[in-house]
Amino acid sequence: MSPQPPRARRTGAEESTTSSEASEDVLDRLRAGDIAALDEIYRVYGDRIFGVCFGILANRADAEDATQEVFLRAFQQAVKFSGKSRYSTWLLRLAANHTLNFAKAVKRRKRVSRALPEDVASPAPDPDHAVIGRERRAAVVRLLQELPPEQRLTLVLREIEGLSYFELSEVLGVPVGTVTSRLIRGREKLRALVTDSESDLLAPG
Amino acid sequence: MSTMDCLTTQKLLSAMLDGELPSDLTRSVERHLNQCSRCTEEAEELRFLSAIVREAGTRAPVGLGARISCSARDTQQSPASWTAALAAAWPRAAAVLVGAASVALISFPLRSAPSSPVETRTTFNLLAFESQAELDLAGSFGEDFQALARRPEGLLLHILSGGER
Repeated sequence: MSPQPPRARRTGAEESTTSSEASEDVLDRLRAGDIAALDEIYRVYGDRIFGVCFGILANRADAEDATQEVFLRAFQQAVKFSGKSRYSTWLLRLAANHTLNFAKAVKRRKRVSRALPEDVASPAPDPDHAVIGRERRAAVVRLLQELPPEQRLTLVLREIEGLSYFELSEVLGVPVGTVTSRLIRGREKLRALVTDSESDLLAPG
Repeated sequence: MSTMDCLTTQKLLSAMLDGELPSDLTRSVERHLNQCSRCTEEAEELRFLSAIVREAGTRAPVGLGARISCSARDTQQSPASWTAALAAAWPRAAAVLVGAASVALISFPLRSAPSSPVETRTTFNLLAFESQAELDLAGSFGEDFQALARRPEGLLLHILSGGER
């Protein structure tokens, strides 16, 4: 049992057509209010931000709204990016803060109305996702909702985004020790949930 | 080197599987795993858990990008955005005006009332602070980590103590 090798943050056809970081030129145009630059930023980061939002919110419509809000804020607050960190770090921090607040608002909303079932994302036509069935993916996303929001966010950013502990500490604005604790506790809790669940999650996909 | 016990191994497994442990600790954990079937099983479960969470990721729906562009365009054209832009620009514009006024006072001492050195320094300190604040905004979160990174044993102690900072 050895450490997992570093992996690409996204795999698949779409990633091969986009770079993993936006260019300085695009960021300059974004600061100047160029909508076309926002389109380019979305092409580079759209899937990643949506993936994080969906991992936290477990609802496709909410994740779309949250993603839209994150990119609108990135557009309106473009001048605040000083270039001291990578743009992806800055954007993920924006997404993390917004999505956590969004999740709290959703939780409040659900206290009022518990009747509606959770929405489940329809699987994208992506060979990388073929190894996991739709039902199992939905079950994992549902179980993730049982974790405290901070643990859930840390786990999603680590597993789906592949961020290192240092990058997580930058995005979440917490010390790396906190990142470590959240991952340990989040995994412990998720494992207990998976074990307790009646679904066949631990069966090979 | 002595073999690590199960409790210590299990506390380090998460960081080890993420590739975040120093190499000597990774080797110690691996040595223990080679001898302990229970911890090996735990490691395999953790690894599988990572895999199923990773695979739960999904892609943005088609058309979301276009919707965001439209919203951004609407926001740009709305009168509220002009008000917000003016409000956002006001402190910077004021700082520039104050700075320009201070430079004028320094440059033309004979044509205006002498400005006190303290006031001049205060003006420039304020301008510098505005710039520093912007820098701090992006960089303030990393200090604790950098301190830990310089002392890997600090991170190890933290993991072993299981404390939330």
